[in-house]
Amino acid sequence: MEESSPMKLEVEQLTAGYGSIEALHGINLSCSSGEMVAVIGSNGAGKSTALNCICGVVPASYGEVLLDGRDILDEPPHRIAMMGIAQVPEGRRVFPRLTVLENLEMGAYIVRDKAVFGERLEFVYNLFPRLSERQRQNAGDLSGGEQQMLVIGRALMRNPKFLLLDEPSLGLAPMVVENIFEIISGLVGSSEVGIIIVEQNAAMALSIANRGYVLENGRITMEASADELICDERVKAAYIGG
Amino acid sequence: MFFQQLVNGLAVGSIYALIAIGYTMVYGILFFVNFAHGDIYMLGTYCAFFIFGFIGIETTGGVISVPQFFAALLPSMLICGAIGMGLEKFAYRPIRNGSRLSAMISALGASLFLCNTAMYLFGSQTKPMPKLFAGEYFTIGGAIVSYIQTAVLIVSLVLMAALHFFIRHTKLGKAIRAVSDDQRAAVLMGIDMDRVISATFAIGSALAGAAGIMVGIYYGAVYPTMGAVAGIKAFTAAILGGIGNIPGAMVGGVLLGIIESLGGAYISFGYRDAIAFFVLIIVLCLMPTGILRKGRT
Ligand SMILES: Nc1ncnc2c1ncn2[C@@H]1O[C@H](COP(=O)(O)OP(=O)(O)OP(=O)(O)O)[C@@H](O)[C@H]1O
Ligand SMILES: [Mg+2]
Repeated sequence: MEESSPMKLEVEQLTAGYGSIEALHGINLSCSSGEMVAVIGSNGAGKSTALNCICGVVPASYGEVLLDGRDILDEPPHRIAMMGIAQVPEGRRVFPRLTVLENLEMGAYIVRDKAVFGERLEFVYNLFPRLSERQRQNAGDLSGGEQQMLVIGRALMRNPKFLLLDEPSLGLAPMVVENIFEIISGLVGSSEVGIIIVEQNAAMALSIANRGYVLENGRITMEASADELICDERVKAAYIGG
Repeated sequence: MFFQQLVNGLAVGSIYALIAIGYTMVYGILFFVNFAHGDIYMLGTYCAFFIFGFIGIETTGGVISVPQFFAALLPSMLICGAIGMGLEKFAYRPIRNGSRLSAMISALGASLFLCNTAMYLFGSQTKPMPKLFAGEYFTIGGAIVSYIQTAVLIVSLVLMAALHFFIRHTKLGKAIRAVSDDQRAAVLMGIDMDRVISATFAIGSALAGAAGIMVGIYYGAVYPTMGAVAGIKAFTAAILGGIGNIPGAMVGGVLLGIIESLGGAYISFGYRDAIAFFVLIIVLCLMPTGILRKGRT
């Protein structure tokens, strides 16, 4: 680790819902730079809602989201992105009618410096060589796995302090998932980025994470190191299957 | 006669295309029809009318030079762009998270407001506009092509080419396309929606303003309700090209101009306007996504 003190993203008592239905009942979680945190939970547990609240695209009704101690909950989403939080949303969501390169340019929308942009592009192309081969192609024409690489690459274009990944394994073949997870876990070792990864594929997520949370029906019911969670009988029964 | 009508249709159609772009850009991002767009076009004509008056040109039978034309075109486009941004800010932004129905009602209200304000301020009677070139023309293949038609075509093409370049190659242009593809994802990139939407209105309105001044000069008239029919026709052009699709709006506009002009000549001149609405109905029934599909999976 570098000498600079690590940054911290903290979520406290976060409460949110849709209309009269409350989806999150006051959750606490945190992530430091250089750390990978997994949030596991089944369908409808509130995982996406939590990430969307942090990014400001779903309003919270109560609680705090602190970025290095500063509450960012009331900031508009584009400002939160500028502060260094990047979400890779569920379901990939590339810009289908933009080319691969244009998608990456949008990822670097807040980067003003041409030289920095060039460096980031090289970094992302190194990480995902497939993207550089397909850079002039419309993103909508990529395969599912390539699209997932593109949205992760797109988020990395602005060198975020925190990367929030929402189910990157969804709908992908096991081989592709393994490849992508390998790259994600490489990011933590090689940079200062802090990663929160939300997954239904608990075994996979916990295998690369440092710590983990279990989210059930809008509440955090367990919090432990990834190794502990992976061995936990309840986690095994509910999320790892067998 | 066919070739002559093609020329006439091309000139009028390129104007429809300019107006249609505004409908399609706004729809592409906000998914509603900005009914006040035709009125912004009308205000563009009035801007030019007053600028010509200000620089001392006779409106009745007056003739403007090419530099004078541009001296009116650029400020009119700027003013219309600003009006478009104001319209968005006051009539649409406050209800952006509301239902699409309320946006539509607000748009209808804004249209009535602009049209009636124009009547109140400028009077409801038709006013004459000066001409660009005193009726000069040349002939190609038996068809008479007036200088003004040529000018309309060239200015429209240059504006559309500029727009195309802007949308394809600039950062803001790409952001507009990104927002139109996936708003939520775009916001997560740090793209400021307010800014993108403002820019969209400014661009569409400036182009409508340009169309307004050219129509004023082409037909030699300006009146407060001129936005209604032109608006509907341009809207038809946008539908024809596939609403939300910018190149589609350009193609749709030119195509509609030509259909109308040919229909007017071969069926009956009196049915010219009806033909546009007939096209609208046919397209909505048979090809609701337009002739160029929005290439989206
Ligand atoms: N836009 C919405 N409108 C209404 N209710 C919603 C909306 N989005 C989510 N919900 C509800 O909020 C709850 C939490 O949803 P959320 O999407 O956060 O779950 P999740 O853990 O991400 O699930 P999944 O694993 O299926 O993605 C669910 O009960 C869901 O039905
Ligand atoms: Mg989810």
